[in-house]
Amino acid sequence: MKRMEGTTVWQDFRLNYFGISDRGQVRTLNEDDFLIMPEYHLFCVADGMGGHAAGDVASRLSLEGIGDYFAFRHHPEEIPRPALLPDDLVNTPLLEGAVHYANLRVNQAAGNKTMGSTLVAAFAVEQAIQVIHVGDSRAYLWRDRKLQQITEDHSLVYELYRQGQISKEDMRTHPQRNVITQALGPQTRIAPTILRFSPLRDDLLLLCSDGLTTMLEDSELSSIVSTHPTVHDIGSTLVEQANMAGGKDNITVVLIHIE
Amino acid sequence: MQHIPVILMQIIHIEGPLKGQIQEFSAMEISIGRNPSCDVRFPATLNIVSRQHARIIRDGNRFKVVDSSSNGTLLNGKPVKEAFLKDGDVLTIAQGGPKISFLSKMTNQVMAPAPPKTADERPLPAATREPEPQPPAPVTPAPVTATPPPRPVQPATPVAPPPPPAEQRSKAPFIIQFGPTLRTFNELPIRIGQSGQCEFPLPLPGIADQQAMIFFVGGQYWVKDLSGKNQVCVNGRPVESGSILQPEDELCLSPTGPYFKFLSGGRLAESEPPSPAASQPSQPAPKTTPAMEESKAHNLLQRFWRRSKDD
Repeated sequence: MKRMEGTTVWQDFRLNYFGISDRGQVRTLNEDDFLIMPEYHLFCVADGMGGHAAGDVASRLSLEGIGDYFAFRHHPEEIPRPALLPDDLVNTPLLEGAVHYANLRVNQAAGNKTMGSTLVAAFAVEQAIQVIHVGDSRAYLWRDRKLQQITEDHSLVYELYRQGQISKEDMRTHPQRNVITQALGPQTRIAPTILRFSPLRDDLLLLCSDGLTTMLEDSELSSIVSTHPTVHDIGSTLVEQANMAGGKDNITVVLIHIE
Repeated sequence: MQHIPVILMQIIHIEGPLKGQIQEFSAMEISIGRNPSCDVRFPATLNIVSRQHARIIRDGNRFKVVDSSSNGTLLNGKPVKEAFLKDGDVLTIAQGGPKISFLSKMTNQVMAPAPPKTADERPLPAATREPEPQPPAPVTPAPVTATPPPRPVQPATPVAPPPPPAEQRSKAPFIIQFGPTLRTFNELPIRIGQSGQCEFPLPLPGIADQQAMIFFVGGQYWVKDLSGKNQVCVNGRPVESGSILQPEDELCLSPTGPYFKFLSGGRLAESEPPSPAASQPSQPAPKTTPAMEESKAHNLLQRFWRRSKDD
């Protein structure tokens, strides 16, 4: 189990953050991970997959790739250029470049094994918050006392939901709920989705792996966010409730409160 | 249903660029350094810290720090290469570098009966590779029976109620900030006192082996005096066999302190003694502006309890 909390200043906001990754009740390994780099205002959640603990390696490599890329791009004179970084990623927008680079890292390490990782990351830069994702780990925004999912899962069941063939609740129990259409690792090219929004004071951003959202409905998430005063309380309770609902997968949550 | 004791290590950054950050790990080993892959990661440009500066390794029920740096690691001010850690120890990462405090805590993690081993059940989006074979769905283990957290009750007008049964175990969060340390409890009751048997040991003069107990019943936090000397007070009144803790209440554990303020959400934060106390020289009230503070405890207080203003 891993937990991390703290606060960092960005523009004229204070970002209070809390990250927690829990193995859950069923799995023997935790193949989720999270990365928080407060100095870069960067927050990431990764959910790894692949047989024989490859998921653990995949999620770790994804986040290491992102971390190495961010450190190098911020301090190119002092930090050695990360291995395998192609020239065409050296000057791309930071968050995109980091995710494409992370994909190459996992892809290279996989060799002929099958392994991959989802990713959802938030990055506060200039006047906006950017959110990027690959796979079915999600970002939610809490604003005006409402919790809204702001990413669209790269998954088969999400496609069915979007087409109106199943409801959002059905997604959580659908027999093919684990089939995702994109991940970091299996292919050399990926098509991540990026969105940007202008944050308002008191916004709360929730990044999570599907171990949270297959156990708890959106209304339950909303209820927990609205009734707990700190990111620490919200995060701890989300994991606790997901475990009490069965904890069938690893559960990872990163919360950022914009104050 | 088994309870597996899990040992967590807690690292609090008490000085340096990451001051205020708290991390907890259940791993057998954690890495400290500038490398982005380090568990306790310092900024890439803080050159006095080595890329792989040190590790903290679990050895049985104890933890030891192992230094592998260029500029050294200090344990409570003394340079070490390898040394066992105890709760409250302060590590300085490189001479003149950032400081972190170390704590270990045991928590009981509830485990469902061991499930059958299944391969990871998620097939990858493979265009170029064989998809993973779909393994059978894992057997759902017997549901974990745990008391759901009680819903908060509307506080009744405070007529002294009969003390509720104190021994009831409840899953309720409780966080104590004392000096540079932060202890988090997920289950109550907890006892505070000199004895190592207390969940929150407080080795201070004037504190009995078991001085006070915090418990949670009926949606409320309560404090009970275990000292037998009527020393534990809330807002100046002795609590005796049980008194509710309400947000903004002032708790004093003995006539010589320590003093705490209780905040909503089960948080107890160390504070100055209340000003009307004639025997104490008057102390300034804790500042709430983010000014440079002399006391690390106050810094932690304002960083982590910031939202209490909204309650």
